[in-house]
Amino acid sequence: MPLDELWRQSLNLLPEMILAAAICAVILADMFAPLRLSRLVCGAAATVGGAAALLALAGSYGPAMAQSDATLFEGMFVRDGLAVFFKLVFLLGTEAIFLFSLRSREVAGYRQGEFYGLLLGATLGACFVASAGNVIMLVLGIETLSMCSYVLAGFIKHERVSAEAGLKYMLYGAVASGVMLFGFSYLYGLTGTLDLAGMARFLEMRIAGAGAGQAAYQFLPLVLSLLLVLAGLGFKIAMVPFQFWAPDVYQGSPTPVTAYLSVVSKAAGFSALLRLFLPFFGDGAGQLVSSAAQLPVIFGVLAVVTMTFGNLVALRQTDVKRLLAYSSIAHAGYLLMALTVFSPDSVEAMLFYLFVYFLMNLGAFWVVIVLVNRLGGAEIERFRGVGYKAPFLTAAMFVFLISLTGLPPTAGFVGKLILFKVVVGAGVDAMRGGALTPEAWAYFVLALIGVINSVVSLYYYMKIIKAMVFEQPEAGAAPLAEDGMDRLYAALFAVPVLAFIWFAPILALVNIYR
Amino acid sequence: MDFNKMLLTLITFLPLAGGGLILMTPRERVGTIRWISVATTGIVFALTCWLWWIFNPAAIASGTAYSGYDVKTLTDVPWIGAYHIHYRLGVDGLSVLLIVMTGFLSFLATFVAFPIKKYVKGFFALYMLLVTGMMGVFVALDFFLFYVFWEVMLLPMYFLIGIWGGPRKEYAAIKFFLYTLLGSVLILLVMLAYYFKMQSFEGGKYAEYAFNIPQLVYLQPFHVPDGPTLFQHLMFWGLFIGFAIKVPIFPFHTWLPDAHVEAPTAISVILAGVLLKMGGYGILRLNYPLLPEVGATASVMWFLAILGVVNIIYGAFCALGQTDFKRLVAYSSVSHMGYVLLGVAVLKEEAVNGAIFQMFAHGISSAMMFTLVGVLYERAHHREIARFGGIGTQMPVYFGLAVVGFFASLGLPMMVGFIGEALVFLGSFKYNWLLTCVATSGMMLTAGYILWTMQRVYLGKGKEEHAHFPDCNRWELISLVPMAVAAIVFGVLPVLALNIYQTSTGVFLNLFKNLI
Repeated sequence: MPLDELWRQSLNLLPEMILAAAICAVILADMFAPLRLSRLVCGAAATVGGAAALLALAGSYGPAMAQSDATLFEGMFVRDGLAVFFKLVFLLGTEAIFLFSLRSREVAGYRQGEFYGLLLGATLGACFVASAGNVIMLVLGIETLSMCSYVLAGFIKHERVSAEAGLKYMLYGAVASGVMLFGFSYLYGLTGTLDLAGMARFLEMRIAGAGAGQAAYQFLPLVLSLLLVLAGLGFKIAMVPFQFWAPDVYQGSPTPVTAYLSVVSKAAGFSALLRLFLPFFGDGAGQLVSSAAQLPVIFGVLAVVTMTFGNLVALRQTDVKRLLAYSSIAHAGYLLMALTVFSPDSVEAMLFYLFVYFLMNLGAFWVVIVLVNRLGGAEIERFRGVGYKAPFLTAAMFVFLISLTGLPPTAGFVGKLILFKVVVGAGVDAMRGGALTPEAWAYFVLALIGVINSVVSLYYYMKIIKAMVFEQPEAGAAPLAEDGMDRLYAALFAVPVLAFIWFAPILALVNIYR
Repeated sequence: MDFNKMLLTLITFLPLAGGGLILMTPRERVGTIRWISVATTGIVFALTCWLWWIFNPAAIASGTAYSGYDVKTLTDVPWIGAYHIHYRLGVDGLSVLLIVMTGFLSFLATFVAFPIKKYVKGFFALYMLLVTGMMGVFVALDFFLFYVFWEVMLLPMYFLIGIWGGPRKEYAAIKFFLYTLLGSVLILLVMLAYYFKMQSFEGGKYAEYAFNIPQLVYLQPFHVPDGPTLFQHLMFWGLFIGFAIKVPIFPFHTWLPDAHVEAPTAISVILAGVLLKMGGYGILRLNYPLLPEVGATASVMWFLAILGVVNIIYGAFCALGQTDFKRLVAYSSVSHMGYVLLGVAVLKEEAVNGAIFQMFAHGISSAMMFTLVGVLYERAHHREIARFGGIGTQMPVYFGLAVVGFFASLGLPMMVGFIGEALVFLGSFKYNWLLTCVATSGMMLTAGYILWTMQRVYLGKGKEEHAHFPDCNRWELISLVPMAVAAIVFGVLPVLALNIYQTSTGVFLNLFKNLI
């Protein structure tokens, strides 16, 4: 590759390069800044770096991109709307986590260079996942993200729960990665290439060539290897049965890290899923591959199991962080529903939901961070009567929680609506002349299970509100006052969650992937 | 801008603006907060009366999607283009009647809420949001918008019961919330099925009508020549369960006694007076019109008519067995709403007219009964029927009003409760005389529990412990007297209400013309 070509292509990596530079800047700054200023200096450097990366990302997306929707570096790096969308979510999410961390007391007391550096590193990994055009790139991105997350989960070294969270996360993560790599090696053996687009092309060709009777036998190895790969990705998105780490890690990690894991890390998992399966969306040969590989059935079952498990177990939680962990498992289940329908609309539904989930979940975590700061823990018990001392934060929390439930007038409602629309629509499509086929039944039952799960989730979300509003504070409980900054941050998330009941802007944003 | 075009928007969102005003008022200024609520709901009530006055159902020719709707107030603005969601508000006779009733009751209920001392600011702010939600349900003609309002109304209700309710408020609040949400998600699924069907129906020609309720009813996208399909049945029952939970219809009624009993008086008034009508409204606006083939199936008619009768009699028996005054009134609601189901299910003109009138009548009589119970509870701080007695001699004005309220509920001729029941029976007699005979026994049971309760509470020798009870104060009179007047006026002159919605009944029954 000629040098000027390399230079030209590298410009497309500008957001990633800025992130990498920011990591160096943060580490350097930490070396020279005095201890008491470490948090401020490193936080500021990281925030500025993230913002610069966001700007670069916005600049890279434009009319010029549409012309050269291209793969770079010999197909390693894909540059398309999907990648831009995911990077936007990652970077916005990371910026929010920076701001949260600057005000969280949990991570204070250490030199902060590593904290912000690791967060930036994890995001860098996530960005490469979103742009991966090759299995190697995908795995490297996931591993970069994972390694940084392991350390972040165990960041509060003096606390046993945090250390335990870090270790647990790493052990489970290592196993999941191993299984995933094993699956990829099978895929490589089946298709003879590591290029994601090449794999898809190969499979489409084989399907077109295979006779109807042959197909089932031919694709058993494919299904198996995809299942193995799903183990690794399922670990990232906290999908049942790879969710065991989530409750302990969410509870033990510092709350800003928990927020990061539940939003950015999960979104990265979904971006990997989409990178892997995107060629199979839409009409034609891709559709044939997805149905021959039984993907709709696999994802349907996984969705049902994941959301039902997450919701049912969440019912009995007494710690808000743990409760939100199970809720995030349930949300992974809702999102997986979109993967039962391989159409462009289902990608739209998934991205829409991810964006809304990013807003409402981060908002909820912000309120939890403030309350943990003030109350010293996240047990629901401690939240009693908070509504009368911090009415603004409580109102915001209510907005986030009904949005997570999927009630109007919030963006969460629209997100669920569009998700269910895809599933019900597939059911209506599968009907023949008004008669119900087994396929149509399957989709309708899936949608029904989905909405009933939403109803179940209302109960545990409202448990938090019940404690905050319906119960009086104990006498002698710690005083709690919300300050202007707390309110501002809460409003930054609550206002969009409410305003995006008019969801045309999100729809426009999401559709940059097309 | 044409004022009439703005009218429905004003009626819906003025309470929300009032709520915003309340939020900006300092919390110590309790009086100001109350009067802002009174003023807001008063203006809204005046606007609803104006709506009644200008309403002209004959303006749109029959045979079009909007026949029966009022053209002057119809508002239709595209909202989210990609999904064909519109901000579409419109009223027909049925909605006008219920809107006026809602305006009336929400205005009077603010006075009922005057004794509330705890977090007054929060109470009235949430109450205003509740009024917006209720009005929105009755004016929305866009399925998406309807659903949004339908659920928005749940949110304030949850807090109004959960914070200001009685001893078991938390249980009652979450039970109400969960039950209603369970019902509404079924409605959501049906809504999505319609949305998707419209994208491909007739080659996508009508895709823009995906959420347009009158057009969905008019076009009948799921219609197939040979009778209702299994899928139509599924959708019908999905909608029916969704609305039946709200009505409430046996066996989905168990949230009602808890919610009504634990809620503060003003909220019980709204719950019984308006919220239950939303279920009936949904059945008449969406459930039957969207899927007329299923509604007109003989077995479905039978099943629902019997379910209505079960509701009437089961509710009455439950009421007979209650020892708590408020719980008794709550079960009487279950019984009275059974007439609505019976009236709709038999699909006869008189019966449907009766069912709609019964919704209106029950709105007035049950609201009045809950207010009456509340007045007594304010003084006695308990609701044990057995511990009362002889109140009539100690609180004569209150007793007079109570007689009007209870007799209206009992269905005494010349009172509002009678007309609805009589019309329903007239229609259902044509359908099946035996079933109607069984149902009429419900009237006797009603007379039984009401007269027996009145005897135990109001009649007899005055008790020493009640001697200090003051008679109704002026706020109680302001809320009770208009209800009593309405209960008598609409009993003597039912045509006042009937005239307004008869066209709607005609349009509704037209859908079933060729099916029965």
